[in-house]
Amino acid sequence: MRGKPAVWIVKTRSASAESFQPVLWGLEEEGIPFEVQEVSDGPLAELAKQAADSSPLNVGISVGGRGEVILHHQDLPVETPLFNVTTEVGRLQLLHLGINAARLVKGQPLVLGDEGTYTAFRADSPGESRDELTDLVNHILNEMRK
Amino acid sequence: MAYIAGVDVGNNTTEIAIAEVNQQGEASFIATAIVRTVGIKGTVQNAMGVIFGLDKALKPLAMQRKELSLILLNEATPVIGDVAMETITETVITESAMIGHNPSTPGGQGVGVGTTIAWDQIASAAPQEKWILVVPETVDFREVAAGINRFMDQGKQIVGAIIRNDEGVLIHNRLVRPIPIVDEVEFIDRVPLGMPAAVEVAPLGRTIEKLSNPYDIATIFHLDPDETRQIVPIARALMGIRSAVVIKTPKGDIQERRIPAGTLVLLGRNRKVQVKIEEGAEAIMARAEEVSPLVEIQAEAGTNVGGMFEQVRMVMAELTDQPVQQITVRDVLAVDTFKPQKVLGALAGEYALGNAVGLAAMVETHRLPMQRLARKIEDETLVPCAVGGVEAEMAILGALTTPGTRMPLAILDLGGGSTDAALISEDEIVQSIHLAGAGDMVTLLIDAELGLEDKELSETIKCYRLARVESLFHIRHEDGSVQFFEKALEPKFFGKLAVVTDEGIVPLDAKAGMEKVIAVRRQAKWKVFVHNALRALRRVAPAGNIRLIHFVALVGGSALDFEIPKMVSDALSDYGVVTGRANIRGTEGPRNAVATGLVLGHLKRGKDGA
Repeated sequence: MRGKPAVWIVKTRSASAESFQPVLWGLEEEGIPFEVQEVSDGPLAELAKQAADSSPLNVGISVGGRGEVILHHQDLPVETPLFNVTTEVGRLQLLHLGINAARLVKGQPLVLGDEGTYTAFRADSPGESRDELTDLVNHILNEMRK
Repeated sequence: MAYIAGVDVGNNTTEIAIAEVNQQGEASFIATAIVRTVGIKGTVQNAMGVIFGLDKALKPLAMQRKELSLILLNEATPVIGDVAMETITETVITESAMIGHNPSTPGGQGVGVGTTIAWDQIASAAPQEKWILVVPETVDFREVAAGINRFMDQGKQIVGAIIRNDEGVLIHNRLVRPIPIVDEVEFIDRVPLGMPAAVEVAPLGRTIEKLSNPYDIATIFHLDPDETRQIVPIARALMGIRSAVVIKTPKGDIQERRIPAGTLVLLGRNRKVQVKIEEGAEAIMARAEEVSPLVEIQAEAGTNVGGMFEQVRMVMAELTDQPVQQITVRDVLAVDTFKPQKVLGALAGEYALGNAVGLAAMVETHRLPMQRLARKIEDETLVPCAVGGVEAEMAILGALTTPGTRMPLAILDLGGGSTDAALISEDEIVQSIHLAGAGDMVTLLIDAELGLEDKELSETIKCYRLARVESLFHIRHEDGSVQFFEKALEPKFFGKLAVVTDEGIVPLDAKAGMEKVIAVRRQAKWKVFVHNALRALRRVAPAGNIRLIHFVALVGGSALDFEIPKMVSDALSDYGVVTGRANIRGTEGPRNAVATGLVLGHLKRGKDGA
């Protein structure tokens, strides 16, 4: 199954080719090759995970008929994909998803919502809120010490 | 059986040693504690920290404060320091003339020289001239690529492009004849149109060659020698990057100018000299050496340094209840440094490195009101509390408990606010000195040179090693070793530099690479601590000769640093000095020297008296 080095993208038959075009542009701008395959249907997280597992670059993306776009990495458990968005987030965010898929391969820092609207970031990550709380407490403590 | 507590209130930490004293007057240490100092050293607020520290030390012994028979307080050295930064050069561009930045993925490669033209004007552009396209963010890259191909077919010469969006590669891939494209130019609407310009993009893994060389810029724009002089700061700012644009504007003026940063007046015992801060650190330190020993340093009012001097003097005046006129700045350490500054009028948020001088100042007065603090502690604990002995002597007594040391011994106390040295000779005479510049200065230098403007982050960088987050599951430490994690790291860490602290990893958004951050960190430590260690030891050494000192023990918070002790001991090995981190009582490392010395000093005095 392992072919040429590329990010594997799996789209279901019902997904339109136009809908996720910006993702491909993001990959192209970063200079990372990709392969698009069509499958009949299936659970999208698993499709993305399978794509990542098959990709020699360990990164896979799945696109569903209702505009779901899921970015997965070989090392991540199937139930926690790295990014999970829909095409409704707009062109720029999809472009960023493509850029991030490429940067994941290149080992460069990801582009994460400095626009404040980028919903692709895992919002349900429990580590995040705890970190913020710790930061806040530390900040207050430091202020008190001054 | 008596229990005695030695308490050392420092700038940052309060250290406690508790000893059990037997009938023969011999001490055995049974507990140690370290807590954060509450309030400024020497004020009654310290009492809270002291009591908290005592409780912390007594807790494992299951003892009460009232079981202590005596609390000994350090005669804290009345020294405080502060740091400031003076920028002495800046780059001023009166009319925007350059874009030098590093978009991660520019398009094409090579150099294009032509006249800037707006995207919507290209249709009417003359075919015989060479053009550089300026494209706003509203135009789709497919339209841009198709347009360029069409215009080129019509015989128009488009030799380069400056675009707003991160789409350089996308456009490049769709061109019939490739051109260099600089993308992600933030202020595209400020790019002057109808002006001669040059666009350069270097191949992957290389840096630009033409636009970073003043003579090549002169060749491209037909500059005379005077104009060539003027563009030197541009060429310098463009060194080491992958893509750049230089635009020649008719009134474009770029200057590197020196900012008058004020004057220092150095008063020695016999002489007085003035030195301008913009002459740089080397000149300042050389002049200071000339008039040595320094008695007082004055700074010109209305400058940053003047303000800093005023600040430390006021704090000290308040602390000691003395009029501010009686407080003098006794020592100063100047260090040359760089500070990245936003270029005024830049188009993509460019920075240029300005020269700066970092200054640490220290004031010294006769005596801190430790007696007041002792009374306060007595009131609170109902245990007799005495101020016991000069700090430097106590530190040496404590340091001598380090296995493998003997008199004559010198200690270097590498702290946060000042670097102190003391030497005890064979006949037990102690000499000591306090110099400006220590850990806080290092933090300031790191902060300035990396352009962080975040003291807390700079402090973290100073204290811990770096790593790069290489995947979602592993980081590579600065020594090359790899650490894996069970759980995926946050995506926001991915690909970034991070500081590996005891609490976890802290991501770093610095533009600089890992080598650069490490170099800045090491140089800052070297400039402050190695320089000061030599300066301090020279002052206490017999005949000012460091070779005559045989043993040096490092104490204080900065002696715990992971690289400072090695730097200092490398520098001192040139003088044949045995240098190492103290190990107080064989168990405490470089901490607790003064607290330990207080107890030992007290018992020694008792014996000598008897």
